[in-house]
Amino acid sequence: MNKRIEPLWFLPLLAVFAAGLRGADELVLQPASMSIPAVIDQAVEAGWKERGIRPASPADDHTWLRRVTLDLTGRIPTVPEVKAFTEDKSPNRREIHIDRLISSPAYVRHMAHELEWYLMREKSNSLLAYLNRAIGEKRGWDRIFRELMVANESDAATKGSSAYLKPKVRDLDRLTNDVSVAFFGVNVSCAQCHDHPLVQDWKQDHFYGLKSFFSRTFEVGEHLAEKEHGVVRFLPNKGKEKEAGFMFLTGTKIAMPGSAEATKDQQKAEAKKIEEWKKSKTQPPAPTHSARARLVELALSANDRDFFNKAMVNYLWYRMFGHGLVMPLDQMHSENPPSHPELLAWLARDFAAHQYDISRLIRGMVASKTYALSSRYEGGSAPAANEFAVVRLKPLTPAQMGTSLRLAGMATVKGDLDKKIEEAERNGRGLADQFPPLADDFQVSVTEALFMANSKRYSGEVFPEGDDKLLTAMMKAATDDVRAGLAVQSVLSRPARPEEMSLISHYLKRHGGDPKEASRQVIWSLMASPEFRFNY
Amino acid sequence: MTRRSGICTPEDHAASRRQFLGAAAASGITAFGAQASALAGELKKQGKSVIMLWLAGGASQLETFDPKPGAVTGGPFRSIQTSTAGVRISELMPKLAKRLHDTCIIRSLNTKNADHGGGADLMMRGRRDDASLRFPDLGAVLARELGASDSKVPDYVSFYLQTEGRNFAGSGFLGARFGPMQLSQGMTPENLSKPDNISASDFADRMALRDSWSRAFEQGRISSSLGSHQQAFARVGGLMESQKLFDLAGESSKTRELYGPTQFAEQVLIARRLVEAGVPFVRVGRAWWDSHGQNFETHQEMVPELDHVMTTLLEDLKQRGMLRNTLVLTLSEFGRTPGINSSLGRDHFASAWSCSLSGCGVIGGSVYGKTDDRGDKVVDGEIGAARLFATIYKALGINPQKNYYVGSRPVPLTDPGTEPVKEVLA
Repeated sequence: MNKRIEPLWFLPLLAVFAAGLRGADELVLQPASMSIPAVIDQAVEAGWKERGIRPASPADDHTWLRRVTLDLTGRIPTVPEVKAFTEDKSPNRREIHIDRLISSPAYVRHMAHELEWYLMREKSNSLLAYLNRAIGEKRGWDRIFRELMVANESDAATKGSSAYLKPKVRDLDRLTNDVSVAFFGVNVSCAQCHDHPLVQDWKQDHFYGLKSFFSRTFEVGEHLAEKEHGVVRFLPNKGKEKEAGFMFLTGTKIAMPGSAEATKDQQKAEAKKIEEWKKSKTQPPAPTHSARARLVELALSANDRDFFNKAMVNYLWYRMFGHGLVMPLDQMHSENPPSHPELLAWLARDFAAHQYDISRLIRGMVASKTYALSSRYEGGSAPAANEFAVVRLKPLTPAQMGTSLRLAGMATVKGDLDKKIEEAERNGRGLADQFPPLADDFQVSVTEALFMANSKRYSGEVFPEGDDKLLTAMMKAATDDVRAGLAVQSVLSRPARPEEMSLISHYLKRHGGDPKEASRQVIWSLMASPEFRFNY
Repeated sequence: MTRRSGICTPEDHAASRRQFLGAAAASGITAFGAQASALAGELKKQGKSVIMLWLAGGASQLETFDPKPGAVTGGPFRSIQTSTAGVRISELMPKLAKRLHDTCIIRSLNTKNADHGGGADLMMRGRRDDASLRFPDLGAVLARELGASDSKVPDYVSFYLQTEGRNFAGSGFLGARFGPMQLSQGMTPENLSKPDNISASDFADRMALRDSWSRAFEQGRISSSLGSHQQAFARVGGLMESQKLFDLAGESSKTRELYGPTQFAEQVLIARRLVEAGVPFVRVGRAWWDSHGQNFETHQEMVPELDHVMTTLLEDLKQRGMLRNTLVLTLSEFGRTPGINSSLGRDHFASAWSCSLSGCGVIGGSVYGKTDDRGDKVVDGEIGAARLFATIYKALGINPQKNYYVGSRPVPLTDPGTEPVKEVLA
């Protein structure tokens, strides 16, 4: 036992965060009636004005379309989609397109995937079925939180929800931290701010208080079960062993039935019940008083829900803009204030006021002018990331890479678009596995470059042939310029620029001995470009 | 009762990052001094490499580095005198006994985890993951510390062909960039050779065309992720060249004979070639040490091979003038029980076991730590994984307290307060 290492360090930051929450009430927020994009743009522009920042130019239609298609449906736009969008001259074509993407089945699958990664942090796919249903039915984030915590497998609507808790329940410290990071934006194992003056006022009770809500949970065979009794005891930094109460991060405590020492009879009865559950192999019934259900009530109650409201807003902001309003995402405390406090507070309030509707929030973010800026900054060095004055590059996720590589090999789409997209998602899974998951300060590995350069498997999958395929269309085309145009259009989702036309035409001519192989090489070069690798 | 470990407290961080920066700014001279010594450290670690002989499954310390002949736990093998006066090792290692002068034996590991998965995780990383972080393994840390961003050779190569105990540690929070080049299917890595359907000149032209897209895209865009993409493709050619390092046809038949014909020997010879070409970390995994039954037959068969290959490697490195800059580690996830079970086997045991460090930065011919007469427990110099790793880093000229930043969280290479074992450091 290492006596030098204790978990107390995070308590002061909770204290200062709680202090920050009180401060948040004093922020002057825009009226609730304003639209999300208007509030975003106003807040971000005010920052530029205050600090004399010149933002990047707006992105062109092709760039915006690729960006929003990747963000909302996890794949590049197809050639017919690009054509239809750029030929649409209606003034609100972007809003129309956002709505079209959000109401497509691919959006549901993509968001389920994104949230799976957010919640599980490893490739497991165990929660996908539940998340697909939840997002498909437009369940709010509060309801999803409740369902994941309660984990009722007997109800068809929440089947599969226990996949969140199950793999974590063997390590309750880790479970406590995972829940805290994902739902409250606070990492309880970070090592900052430990010498804050408030440290004496904050005890380990907060960590163990949160852990208490999970301490009655255990596994019975394939199922999760929860006891009627139980409290957490721990050895504090100083002093004797003590009992933790049921306490939320804000310091709010609740009285939980079953906190008294169980009597011998109660223990016996419980042991007997557990034996029966083991034998029956069905989901044990929920206890009369579920500690996990109480945690949900508490975390969503009017005075304590700020953690919950802000954590998801900040995460979605990070996914859409490539940088959170608070960074790192799991350090949402007042020593680490948001870049735009009023904006975060307004969005959090709006999110709660609209039943924690994730799609509504995302729609508002991607409809903003801030989202629609260019990722290129010319004439000087780019402003800091937290000014949101130039769009950040986001590496494609493994799933986005897999699906997009499959779609990039298509010159057109015949038949039902969503069917084709689903097919690309399915066929792209093997490729997806070859690319690493997202990480802070993401670095492309040479293993990935070697895979693209030399793997037979890769070349076997990315140059398909057939009626609607890019390679076939290039072979049928009359001139090298047309071939160049087709390749850039399919792979990069935009028309070829004159200098690209001439480079590619020249390449095809110089390698004219084997025209098909030359076309493959051109396609390869575009797929291996950073323009393809990143959502820009 | 619980007392959590793995996350730190105020007193662990005597100075926070903020305080440090503040102090450095306030005192120009101190800051300059710190910088100068940091720079000296950077120079010192240049050209350093590690070859790790990973004895997967858990080799027995009693049949290798810490024999107990005559004890009830001792087993049938004798101990023999080594080239260091007073130091005896198992008779199964006669070659190492004759050239112990470059090797330091540590006999006092108490690492507490006697489970294959957990033990391997611990001994490859030097610590347990905490609730929110997956730590990088030794190979990934050394890839980052000792590798060059434009290197023409891999930073981290891992051989592991056996099916048992495939615990691939990985690069944790350092990400895929510092992950291993894995050889799990054969003696040459995947995707290092050019596909047959493209000529060498087309391959180069195709890459040049890609580079032109890359240059155009980089105009007006700066990001480290973007830079790493260009860097990764720029390294492809060099790495493909390095394929020849995996081909032992490039080695003299005399050298090959010295190492011997076994797969383990060939992999270790390839490891030497890789290190010679500048690869900072190579791990050669050798499985089947998990001798729950027939421990003595198993070790009688496997230890002499280890003895031969390890000493040949040390001699080869020495003759090439490389041993000064190459640290050779023999390590397992744990050792084996002194008690002998009814199948004449030894079981998992992490409370008192051994490893060895040879070459770079360590005092050769030395022994650190001591176990009791039966080998049941450590009686002198007990250390855990953290201090072993601090010692390894220090031997390579790397500050064990160096911080990485995960977001804004400082993560030192070894847990705060961990001291290297000075007694074994040259």
